[in-house]
Amino acid sequence: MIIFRAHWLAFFFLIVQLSGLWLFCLGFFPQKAPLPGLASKETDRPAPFTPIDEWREGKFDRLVFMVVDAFRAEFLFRENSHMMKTNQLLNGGSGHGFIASAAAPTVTLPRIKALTSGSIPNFLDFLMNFKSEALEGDNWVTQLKQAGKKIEFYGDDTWLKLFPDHFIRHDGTTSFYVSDTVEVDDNVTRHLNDIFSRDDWDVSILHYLGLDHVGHTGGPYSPLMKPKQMEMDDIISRIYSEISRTDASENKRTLFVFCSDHGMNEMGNHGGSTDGESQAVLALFSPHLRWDHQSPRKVEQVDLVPTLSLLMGVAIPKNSLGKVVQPIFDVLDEASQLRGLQINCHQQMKLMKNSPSFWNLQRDIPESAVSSRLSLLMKEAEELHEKWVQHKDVETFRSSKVKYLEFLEDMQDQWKRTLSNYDLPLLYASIYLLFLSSLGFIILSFHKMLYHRIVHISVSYQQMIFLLMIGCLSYGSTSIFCHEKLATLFRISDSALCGTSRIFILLGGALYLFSLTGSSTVEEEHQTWYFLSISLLIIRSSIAMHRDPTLSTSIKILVLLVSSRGLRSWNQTGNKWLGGPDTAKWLKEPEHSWIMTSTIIVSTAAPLLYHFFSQDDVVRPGEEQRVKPHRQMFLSLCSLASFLVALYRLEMVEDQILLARCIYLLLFLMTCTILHPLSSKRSNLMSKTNIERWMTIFYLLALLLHRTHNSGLIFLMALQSLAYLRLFLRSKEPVWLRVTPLLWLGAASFFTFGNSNSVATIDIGGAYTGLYTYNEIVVGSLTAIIALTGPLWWLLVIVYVIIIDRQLITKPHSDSDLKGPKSAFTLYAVFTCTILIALASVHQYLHSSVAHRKDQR
Amino acid sequence: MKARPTEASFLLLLSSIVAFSLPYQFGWDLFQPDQTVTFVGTFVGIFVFHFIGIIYGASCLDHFLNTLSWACLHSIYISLPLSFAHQFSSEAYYNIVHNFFRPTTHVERSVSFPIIGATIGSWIGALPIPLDWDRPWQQWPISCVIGCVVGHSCGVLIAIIASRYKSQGMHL
Repeated sequence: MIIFRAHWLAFFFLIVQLSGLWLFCLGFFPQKAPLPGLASKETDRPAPFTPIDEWREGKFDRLVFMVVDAFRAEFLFRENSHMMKTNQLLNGGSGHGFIASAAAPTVTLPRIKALTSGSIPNFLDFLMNFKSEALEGDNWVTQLKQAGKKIEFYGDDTWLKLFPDHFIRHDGTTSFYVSDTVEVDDNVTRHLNDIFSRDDWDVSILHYLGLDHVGHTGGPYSPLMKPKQMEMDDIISRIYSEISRTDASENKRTLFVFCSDHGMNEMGNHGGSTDGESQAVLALFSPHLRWDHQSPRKVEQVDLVPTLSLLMGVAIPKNSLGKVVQPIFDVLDEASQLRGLQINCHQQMKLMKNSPSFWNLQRDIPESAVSSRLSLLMKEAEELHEKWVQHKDVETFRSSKVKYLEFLEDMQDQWKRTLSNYDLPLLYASIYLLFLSSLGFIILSFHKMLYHRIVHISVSYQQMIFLLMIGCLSYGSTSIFCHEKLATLFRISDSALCGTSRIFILLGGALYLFSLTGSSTVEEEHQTWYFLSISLLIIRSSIAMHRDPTLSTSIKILVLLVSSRGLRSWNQTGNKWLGGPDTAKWLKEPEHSWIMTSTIIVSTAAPLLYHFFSQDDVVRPGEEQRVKPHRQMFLSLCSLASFLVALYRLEMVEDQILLARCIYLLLFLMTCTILHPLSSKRSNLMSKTNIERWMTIFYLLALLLHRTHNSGLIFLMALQSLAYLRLFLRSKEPVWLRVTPLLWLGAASFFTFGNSNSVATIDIGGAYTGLYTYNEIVVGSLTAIIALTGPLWWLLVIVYVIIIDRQLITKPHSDSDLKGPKSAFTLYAVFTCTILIALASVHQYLHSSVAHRKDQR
Repeated sequence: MKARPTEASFLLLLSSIVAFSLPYQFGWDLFQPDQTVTFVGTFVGIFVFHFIGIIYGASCLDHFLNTLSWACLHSIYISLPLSFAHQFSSEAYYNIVHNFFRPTTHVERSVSFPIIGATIGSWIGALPIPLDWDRPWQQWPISCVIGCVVGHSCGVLIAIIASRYKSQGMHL
């Protein structure tokens, strides 16, 4: 009974810890309340100094808004850009181009929200990226609709979800088939003829997804990139010439905006805040205005919102944080320029007066020195503006404009600063909870009945992570070193045998914790793990070599070390060497395709070979016959599944989705052969053979879900774990010593797949394997499996080690009555480890957002 | 003048072997070292350390000479004294790696402390390599070499100090 109580206590502390983390997230990402309702031109604009408002009507009456997903600014502005026609237009003065910096998270949905409403979405919006609901805040699409404009939309159906009932005509394409780079864009382009042959529209929005898909499949230097950019170039010049033609014939004024929602990094992914990801493009074209050609200036993406609202003659959305893009307005007459700035400043002022951190809402006075300075600046600017209206002299105009712009610049800085404010009381509460739970775990670790070692290990691992988080590193290290009782936590039976290993594990853990305090070491965390795990493996290998100095041991050591090295150089990750050479890039080169093919064949054949040559564990003598049919069943299913995975990876079948579904079915059947009562009656669900089978199923699933170039990586990982198990599985060392290297290898293997602490590195390409339609739960769980393949695999290896250890200690005959609680223990261990991995990843993502916030400041 | 790390380290290697075999040449049978064992041990050590360097992440093809010179340095600092004092006894190697708090004699101390110091120094020297400080000394293997040399000297120093205060190992 006491076992179970300790159990529940541990579970309780886990819950406390999770709720602490949840509170931490809440405090770390404060929700700001946006102003409700729509702005109106009449009430929200300041009274003009002139008899008529210059911006009563917009400067344009039609708008073509073209978004190209993931179009980096550099694609347009670099030296030998493929966008020749667009550059010609810009050089000729028909358009004006900018580098628009997008705030993190650089994924489509938050970016569209920013582009339309002008507010900077917070980090939690990333989680909502896949689940888009109608945009409720004020935005220019709704404003235009209110103004009676007829809007049509073609492209990414995210817009349709954000703006339901806004469009008179629409044709949405899903961003579902990431590998499709042609159809998605043709679906949009085929409407162009229609658009320009009709004249019943006022606004037409186009969202091209193809370039993003090219990036996700092949990166920014993919061979498909040049034709895709030239296609976009053709479309831009075509739209421009069509606009010039129809404007002349129909006597209309049309504005053409070309922009992108975000860029892409060197791998073709996006989400973080590196230069490549955050530098989007923004270009305005019109046949009616002429701009002087300048080199592209940097603006904020949200600056488009007030600019566009003014030009189209609608009110600036209430929560917009943008400032007008002044270079666009420089060609307008002086009165319009000043009036435009005044309207924008007034809107910002209004937003500031509604924000409690700037304005005392009860007494209607400035809350801080900053806000009183800002309101003074605004007042001066308006006085100068009024003076200019009376005298019309150049000097006053210039100083008024400078004052307005200064106000807008300063205001935007202030907004950025408030966005990274934390909710401190919540943070303190969460830290208290985390402290409480880790304290609880420490106390629990003294509990004699909670003897299962994996719990000890996970407990100590948790202590290590959270002791740092609450600044108790000194306590942790001194207690581990000095306190005799805490040292028993590691159950050191033979200290002479594991002296160096123990010291190294403790020091390495401390070093890792220390590395979490620097932002650049967090970015390059994979280096820490590679370094630590290799060092530990070398120390362990030297012990193994001493224990059994034979040729087979040295071969195993060689395999272990060489495979670790191979894994390390498979995918570059982090920040500094992200674009550097690695095995994956080498394999992707067309002339190495035969090597790719052979790695696929080797890695799919590997589990079969393993199972054919391995022995089933026999429960009792004379019962081999009963186990055999299941073995045969499993093996035949396994061979079929491996064959189909090979076919899938080699892309030899027309209908890939159907094939993937067949493989899912086979994997399910393989699971059934394990779970079937005939096979699990005698042996435990978690017996040695069964855990090997679980690993096989997971291995095949990983092969199916991951990119083709990672097949060899998965094989190497399996090879590495096999070598490790052969070396250390039956060594007579304490379990923690055999398991800790596995924990470290698991942490390292998270990075070998190209993941890093940045959310941008999550690969969602494989999450759509075998799906016809988008399904939130399936895609989410497949993404999780893809991101955590390495840690999950090593978790299975850990469970394997523990099971073998238990079999060695206790004879299988004697403890049939103990099986129940023991398997409960195993399940608990699995549960704890899974939660741990989840926590570890949460903490990694927290770190990545810390990095973003640092960038924003 | 262009730096020639490999040639320099080979020169160092040769001169150290000559220096270590000098007592033998003059008939000072201080340790009775076997010249061949020392030479072979040091030579094999180069390959072993080159392999370890690659395992730790040094590139197989690029910076080949850098890795080789690093391996040479380590071989001189670690393999040479090991094979000189202990020949190819794996038991002795194991004791140095895993019982390094308990050397008993002067010879053991003067062999094992500098070795351990060089290893730890080089290990710590590798830590700043991936950081984004962009300093010239972060180039592989400069910081490792510095760490190795500093660690080795510290080891020698500790061995001398320890021998002063521990008298039970005065006889060889």
